[in-house]
Amino acid sequence: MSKTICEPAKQIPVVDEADVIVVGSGPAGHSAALAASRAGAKKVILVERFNHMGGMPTGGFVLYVPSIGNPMNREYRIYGIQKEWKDRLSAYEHGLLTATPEEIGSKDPEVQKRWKAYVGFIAQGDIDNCFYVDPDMFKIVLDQMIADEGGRIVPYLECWGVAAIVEDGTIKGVIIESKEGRKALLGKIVIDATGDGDIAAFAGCDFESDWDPRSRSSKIAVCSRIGGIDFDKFMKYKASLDKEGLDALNKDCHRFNDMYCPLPTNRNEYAWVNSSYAGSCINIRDLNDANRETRRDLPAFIENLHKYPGLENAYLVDLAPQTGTRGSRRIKCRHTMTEEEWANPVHHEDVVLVTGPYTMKTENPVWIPYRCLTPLQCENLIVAGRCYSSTSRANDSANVIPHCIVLGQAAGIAAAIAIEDETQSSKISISKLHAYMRAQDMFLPDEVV
Amino acid sequence: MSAKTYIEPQTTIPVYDECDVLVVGGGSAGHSAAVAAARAGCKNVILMERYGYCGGDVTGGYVLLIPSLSFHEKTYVRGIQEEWYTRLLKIPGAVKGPGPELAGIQDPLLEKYWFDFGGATMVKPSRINFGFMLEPTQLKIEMDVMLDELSDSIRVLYHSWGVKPIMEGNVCKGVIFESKEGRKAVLAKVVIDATGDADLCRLSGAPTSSAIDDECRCSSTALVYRIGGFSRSAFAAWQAAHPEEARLLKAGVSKIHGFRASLFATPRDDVSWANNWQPKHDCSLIADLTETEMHTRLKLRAVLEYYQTACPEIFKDAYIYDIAPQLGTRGSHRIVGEYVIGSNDWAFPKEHEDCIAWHCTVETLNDNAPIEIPYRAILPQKVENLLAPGRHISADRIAIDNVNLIPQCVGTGQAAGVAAAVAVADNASTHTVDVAKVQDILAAEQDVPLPRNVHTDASYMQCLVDHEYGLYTEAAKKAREAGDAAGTYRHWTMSGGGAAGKV
Repeated sequence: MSKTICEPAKQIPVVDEADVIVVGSGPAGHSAALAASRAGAKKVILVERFNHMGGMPTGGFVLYVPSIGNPMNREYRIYGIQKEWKDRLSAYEHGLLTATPEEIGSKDPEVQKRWKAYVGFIAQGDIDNCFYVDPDMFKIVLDQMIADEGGRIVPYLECWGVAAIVEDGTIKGVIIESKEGRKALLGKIVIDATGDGDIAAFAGCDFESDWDPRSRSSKIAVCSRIGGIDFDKFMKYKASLDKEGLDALNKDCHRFNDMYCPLPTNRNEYAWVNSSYAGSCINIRDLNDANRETRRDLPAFIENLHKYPGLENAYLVDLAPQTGTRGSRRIKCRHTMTEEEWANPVHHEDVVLVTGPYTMKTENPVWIPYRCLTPLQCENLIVAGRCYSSTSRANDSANVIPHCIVLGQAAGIAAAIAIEDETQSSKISISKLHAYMRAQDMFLPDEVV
Repeated sequence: MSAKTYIEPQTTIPVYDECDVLVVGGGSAGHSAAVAAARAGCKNVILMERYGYCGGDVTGGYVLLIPSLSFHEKTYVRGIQEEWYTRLLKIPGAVKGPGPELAGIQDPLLEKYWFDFGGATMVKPSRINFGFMLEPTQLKIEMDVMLDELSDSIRVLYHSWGVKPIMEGNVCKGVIFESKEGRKAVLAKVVIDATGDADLCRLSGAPTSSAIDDECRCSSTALVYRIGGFSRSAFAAWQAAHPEEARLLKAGVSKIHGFRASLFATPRDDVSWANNWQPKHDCSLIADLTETEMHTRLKLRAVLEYYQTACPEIFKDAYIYDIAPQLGTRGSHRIVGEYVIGSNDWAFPKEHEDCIAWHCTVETLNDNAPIEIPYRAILPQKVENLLAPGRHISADRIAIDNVNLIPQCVGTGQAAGVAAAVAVADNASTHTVDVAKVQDILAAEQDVPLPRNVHTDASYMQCLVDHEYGLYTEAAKKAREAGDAAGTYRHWTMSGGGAAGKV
């Protein structure tokens, strides 16, 4: 449809101003806001579209948080804000599912047997320091982390960041839609943590959004949880299957519009149903179809599970209120990660994130630099999360929750430094960035001074 | 608040789609409007919804109680609202409540059972009242099933936030919405504002009001959460056996919250939902809704621990089942329509020629007898081709608390959908549409009983007459003696609570 209408110029009330505005409170945005506040920003506005923070792990039911930590070191220590998540959730009974400190890193066959069927726990032959969160307890934890910053972070819930205010190639703020109507927020530094780089894209920054249709990131999902089950019993059954049996089990699930075999949660009577729906999370039609089709197919999928040990009484507990995303736009910044660089990692001076492919431990991980977060066409805008500058294949290797936490935390620190030193976001002192990152318990390789 | 403004330059908005009837908001009112419009013959309906699913406050806000659908032995709230019930009955665990066959029954054992389950909204002092509790996830699915059945007529736009009406003079021509694809437009012949807070009407030039006082139910917000791991029926038995402890427990929980909170049943015995009332909060103000949501979540651990320690025999294994992904709303802005419903509509029941919903309400002044809701109560003044059914219906600050609950949202939504379909078919406007035709379709084809309509059985009117329109109550007598009910009787207040519906 090529019809258009003209919307005349409009006067938008400015409702607030801050040093730093973060748009999106998912793993990247929430981490960015905390990091900025802790690095000295006196006021951080945190804009969030939904009524809860967390994005994918809370609203999207993406309950699995793997560890990347130090990708060269197999001790499985986790760092920074991801460690805080784990520590805080551990304080609650049933706050998360994780291996014990003794089990983590273990190659003991008995321990491995216990965790074998729990997806994600065995990474490269030993037990990972990963965890599955309770999405609602996690909502509470995330709110508490904001509250603990003593008022420096000002949340704006149920506000959708929909446009950028840009003057002479520098961002000055964002526009939100809300129940109070269309409003403007002015900020010195804006962090786009929308996941899809919405603010950057709407500000006119170039981006790529192509995906190989076979790639993980080209798919979306509407997750759900089932209850009334004995997940341990199901895991024992799954562990007893040979390769052929496992393939048959997975196939028996996938035939329902590519739903996955039920995954763990923090409670034995629940499981998480993920899926792989071919579609883009920035396409209205695809978002609609994924939601409609998943709801249509779930009842039959659950009925079909009743034949499996442990799942005989499975019923639908709830549906994720947010559509699950994996990858979309990658904003063009001053450095772009490519598959060539994945094959031959470069040790960038301005490194912020060191990672193997996905969450693999490797002798030679990539070093993702700060320059991947600063758009070519807009100053004082920092992108955080999966929309960093990268080709689709490079992005597909490193765009899960732990990566977003680190990039968000780095972006927040960078924003605070830009304010403190009164510089543009693309010109901050990298040695200061690294010093503040270390102070916030973020991982940096020893060779980084 | 800064007085600064930013001038956003003129822009060109791509038109995403065009249709006959555009419904903005897929909650109780909007979903019902889209379905009703399609069933009334409109083959070109778009349903636009901000989130990824329909149901609004019910499925996202977890407001799971559908109260007060009958008066004595007759069920007046039928149509799509009753359809939710009959559809969900087929799914185990999806709905529970005394059905229409129990309306008006007087049986002490049945009354006790249903009172223990659903409280005073399901059991009057003397008889059972059709009402039910829902399982929200099954309703989410069923609402899509209803849309799928009408897929040749309704196109759904999820993840699309309708933010501004497109006005040509005083005529509404469509809506601008925000999405992951950016700012876009849908053009339509008739637009139904089912946003709940008159979001579109407020920007259309139609008069709206947000006048309220601190005693109004609508002056409060909520964030509902559900608690699992304890038996609701065991809790009810404990409450009956320990009334003083029960009162103290409720007071203790409310103290931790800082405002009143109360556990309600769901169809599952091991899951309950917690309603709450944060006073002096406006669901249409960013700061208020943010505070409601974060404050409630921050107190939840303490609330759970209190239940576990204060009443371990019931709550020792209780856990937080989930927290609603949408704010619980009661009311904010509402239209000042061509008719404003007021308290006198209960005490001095009016016959409205343009009645489009004949609804029992939670108001006890007339013992939950039905009142006639006119088309003019969803018809904004001064603008054409814009209707406003649902939570933001035209009513004064006292009446709104009784007439914007879920059943009225469904009923007025259904009526708006039919009215829009008829207006388009007859090339009429929302002010010139043939309301008698709308009524006939509702009554004859959509199972909506209407007063003085040839398609509605005489027994409905007879029941009302036989039971004196419910005006035998003390409160009704007083109001009628005073000649004016306005402001003299409120069956529920923020400070006092009430005997009947506490939603």
